[in-house]
Amino acid sequence: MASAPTPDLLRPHAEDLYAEELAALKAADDRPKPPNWQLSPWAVVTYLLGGQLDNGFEVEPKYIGQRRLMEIAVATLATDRALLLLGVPGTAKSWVSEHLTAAISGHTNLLVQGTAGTAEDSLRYSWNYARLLAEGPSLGALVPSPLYKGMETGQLVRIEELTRIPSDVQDTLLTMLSEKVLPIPELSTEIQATQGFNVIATANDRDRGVNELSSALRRRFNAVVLPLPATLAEEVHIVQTRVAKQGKALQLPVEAPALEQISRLVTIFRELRAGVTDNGKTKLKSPSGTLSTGEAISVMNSGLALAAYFGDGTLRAHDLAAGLMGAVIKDPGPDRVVWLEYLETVVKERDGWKDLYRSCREVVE
Amino acid sequence: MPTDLRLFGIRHHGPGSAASLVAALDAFRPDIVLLECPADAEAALATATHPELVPPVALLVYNPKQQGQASFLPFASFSPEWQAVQWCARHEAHVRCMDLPMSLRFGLRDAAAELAAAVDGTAAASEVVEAQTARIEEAEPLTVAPEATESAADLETDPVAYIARLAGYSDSEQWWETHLEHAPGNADTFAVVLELMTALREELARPETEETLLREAYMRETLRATLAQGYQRVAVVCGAWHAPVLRADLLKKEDKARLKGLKKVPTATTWIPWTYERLSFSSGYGAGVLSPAWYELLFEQPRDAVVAHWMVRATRLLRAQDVEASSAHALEGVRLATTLAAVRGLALPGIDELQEAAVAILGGGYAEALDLVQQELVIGVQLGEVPAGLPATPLQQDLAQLQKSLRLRPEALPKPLDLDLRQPTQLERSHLLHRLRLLDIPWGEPEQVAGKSGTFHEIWRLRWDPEFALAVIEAGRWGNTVLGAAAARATARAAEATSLEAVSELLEQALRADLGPAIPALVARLETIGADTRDVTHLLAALPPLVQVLRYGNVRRTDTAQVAQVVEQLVPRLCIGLPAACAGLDHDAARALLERLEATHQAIRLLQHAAHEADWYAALAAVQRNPVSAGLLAGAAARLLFDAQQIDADTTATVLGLALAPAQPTPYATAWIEGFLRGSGLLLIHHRELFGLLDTWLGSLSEDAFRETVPLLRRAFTDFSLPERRQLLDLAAHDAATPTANQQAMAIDWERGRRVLPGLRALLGPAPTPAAG
Repeated sequence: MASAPTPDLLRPHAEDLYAEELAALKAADDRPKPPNWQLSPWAVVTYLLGGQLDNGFEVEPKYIGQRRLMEIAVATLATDRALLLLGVPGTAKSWVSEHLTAAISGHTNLLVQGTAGTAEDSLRYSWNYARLLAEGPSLGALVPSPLYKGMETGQLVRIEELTRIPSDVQDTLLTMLSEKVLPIPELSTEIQATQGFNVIATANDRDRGVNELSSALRRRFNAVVLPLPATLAEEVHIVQTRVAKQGKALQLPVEAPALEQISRLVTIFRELRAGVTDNGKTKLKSPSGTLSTGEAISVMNSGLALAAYFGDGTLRAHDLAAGLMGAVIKDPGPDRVVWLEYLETVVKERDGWKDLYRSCREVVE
Repeated sequence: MPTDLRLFGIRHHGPGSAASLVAALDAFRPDIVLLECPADAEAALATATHPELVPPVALLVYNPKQQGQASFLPFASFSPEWQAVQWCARHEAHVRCMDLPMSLRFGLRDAAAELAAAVDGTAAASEVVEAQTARIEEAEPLTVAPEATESAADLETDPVAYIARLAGYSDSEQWWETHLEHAPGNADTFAVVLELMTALREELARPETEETLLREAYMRETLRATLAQGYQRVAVVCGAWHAPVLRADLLKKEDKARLKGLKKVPTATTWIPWTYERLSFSSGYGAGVLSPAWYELLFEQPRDAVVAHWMVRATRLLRAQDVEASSAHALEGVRLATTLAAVRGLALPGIDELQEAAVAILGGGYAEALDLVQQELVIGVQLGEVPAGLPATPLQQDLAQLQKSLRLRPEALPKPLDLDLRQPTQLERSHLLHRLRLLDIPWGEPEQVAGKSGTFHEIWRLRWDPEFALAVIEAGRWGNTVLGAAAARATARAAEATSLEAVSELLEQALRADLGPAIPALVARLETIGADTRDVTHLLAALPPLVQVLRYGNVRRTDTAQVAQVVEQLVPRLCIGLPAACAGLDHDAARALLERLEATHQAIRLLQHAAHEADWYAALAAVQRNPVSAGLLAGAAARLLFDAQQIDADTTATVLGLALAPAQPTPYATAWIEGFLRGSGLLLIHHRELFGLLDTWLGSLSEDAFRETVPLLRRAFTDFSLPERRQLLDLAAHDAATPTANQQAMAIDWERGRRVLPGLRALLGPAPTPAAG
């Protein structure tokens, strides 16, 4: 199952990347496990939030934020209710869902990506038409969906962007989640879910109403809203650890960004998001984008790439400027005004931010 | 036969403690129970068994001579002390209060206040007493752990935090709750608690405050006295922290010495209704618990059903609000809360687990949806009841007596009340309503009275909100009579107020309420702030209410001599500062000041005091002449002076000419005109010379400047009445020379005619607003 990470993979699965941690947790875990779980709920929470095991092994935190949210998520999965992770883009919904799955089921292969074109087949099963024609309806001709496999083997299944899936297709989930069966009328049979089967869905609550969940379906889920980081320090910490991690994975020949650069970037994001400066003195306009922590991480990463390949290997203000502008200005009309006002009223006046101001002004003109 | 003594260390308002205590008392069957309550509350506590006394209620112990000294002892049905009293009533056992009487505690605070006052002469004694009251109520160990924090300082105020930390809890409340309150009622708990506290007291060796030592000494003395009386089975119910030191053989001599020569003040005690909200932390009262409603449920329901009970109530509550919440939701809620508790290693879900489960399942992840649940099922909305027969608080009695003698019945339906202040009874009614308003009991809302009768009439809208009963009780801390409380409150508010305006408004209210005793303090405060105030705008704002006071003082038969004195000082100070205050202002600031300037002008004219008027006109003249005055204010000053006949038409023409001279920047000139023409254009109509000057000035503007000026001038003209504007239009349309000749021919004395106009306007009411466009 958990093999050693292959070094040339662009993005290894969570269970491969953290195979060592998972193994150590498993060895140290003596608490009761729900059926078909690789770890006990306590160990899963520890895996997500980090901590030190009794034998001194250090578990890295995967989610930086409120402990109680992770506890609710794990407790939900331990009952047979499905889990719905809500939040604006970039609040680590998919990240949490991947790590939960890795810790509980040991692998993260069962994934349905929700889109407007997701059909019922991708939630239930489809057919291998060659065999269907040759053999007639048979289990051999049936192509199982991730949900089918999850029910069969008692594993966690992830559904990304649940609210992008058309409502009538969403409703397919109803029987699976309440009756825990998947009927196959063509073969006059059904699949009954093995213990351990459950679903983690993620949905973006910015564009609620895209395909709002029906109340019947909503009732099958426990909802956990993942908030944006509460404090500047917390958010800087998240960006810093994630950037360091990804930098390593992308093998960028550049030194880790100075804390100061990260702190400036996060401050800008937080101020624009909140519509007021950190000291609470100046009122600002907010841009149309979400400016989540996830975006801060990607701005930082693109800055690092610029610095590595076109700069002197050290992250400077002008490496960040372009990415920053791209993150803020989502709608060229109003957002441009927001950004210019912010530059002129806040960035320009701030001590030690001159370089950033100049670089940003150069790009925005 | 040796006496059997048992110590029951409890947590105040702990439902688990209460249940365990009842079980323990059932097993022990004492003949007397000693409670950690002030000894002087004993008589009142005995009435706790009155069938109409419904918790939450509080014992109010107060000093009838000094109203600021009061202490509340709240009880809920799940309070161990409450249960102990009820148990004793059922089993005919005696109850005795063993804590240091409030009469001595108030005495201690008096001494401390005197000391503080000696050190810091400015601190009002009453404030010190207030602060002390709060501190002592908070100092009860185990009553409160102030907001869970991990600071080291926490250990000093909350000894249980120490043991909670050892057990891996960040929050001592949670530790105690999990181990002692959630455990089913069990008589054995107390032996464990006693051992635990004994160990803690030894381990921490925390220095106790003098007051705690005194209280423990008094408790031991009471204990010794009780034992000497020959009771066979004695139970002591006290905060767990005190339990280890309540032994009869401890510190006999030292206790006597310590309690000797303490100052004593008289006290009275009564019951007042309390609310769960005030019992909880959220209300900011010291002795509180996190979630009274949850505690009540924990106490009343069998342990295995309590989670289901809470969740079903939450579901039903939300359903009543049209939130989708079925029994299936409740079922899932219970399951999630239970699993969550298991993940956290708890035997039973606490209020945190329940709330989080409710948010995930009923609130769709959003806590905002569950505000109502927080309000009703975490805090709780229960209001206690106190039977009428029990002694009411002194303020309640006074109010009830006044309501009777003035024949004003509290009614929930809104009712208008017209008062003629020339009649003594009606005047007294007005005083009462004004006093209650000062105490934040808005039984009557005053309504605007138009016309001349405004000087001796008041129209009120009366509506008695049942919540006022609570406000009356709360106001009881200010005094024992409506008058005394209102006066004390007004004085306290004046002491806090920093702006002159606030104090002068307060003074106006105080005079309306006839708060004789408070007036000197208010006036003194007014003088202090008035002298300190550098900002003339505040002086300007303060004057009109004071002049109102002087003017209506006679009707209300209040003594206004002191106010007159303040006004005496205020006017010159204001006149000195005015010219400087009018300089260097931008348009908005000038506009704000202009309104105050006009109000003050009216006020000073009402005073009819020649010297004041002269000062004022001199100040206005200075504003008008000063080249750096804001244009708007300089223009307004010229107009006010002209209206008051301080400058004649010729001088006015000169002044206007100077203001409109080409050397002046256009914005200044425009603002000047706006200030000058404020309110009425009659001036221009009757003084052709002025009209001509304005006309010439407008004609001399460059096209661009004219464009900029027109909207501003329009603004100045919008206040004019429609006929005025028509006349002005006529004037402008005709050649300047012709109308003059016409008027000469008609031989109309415009000056005389103009004098009639104000009278006419008064007769016909204010000029109609000109129709738009």
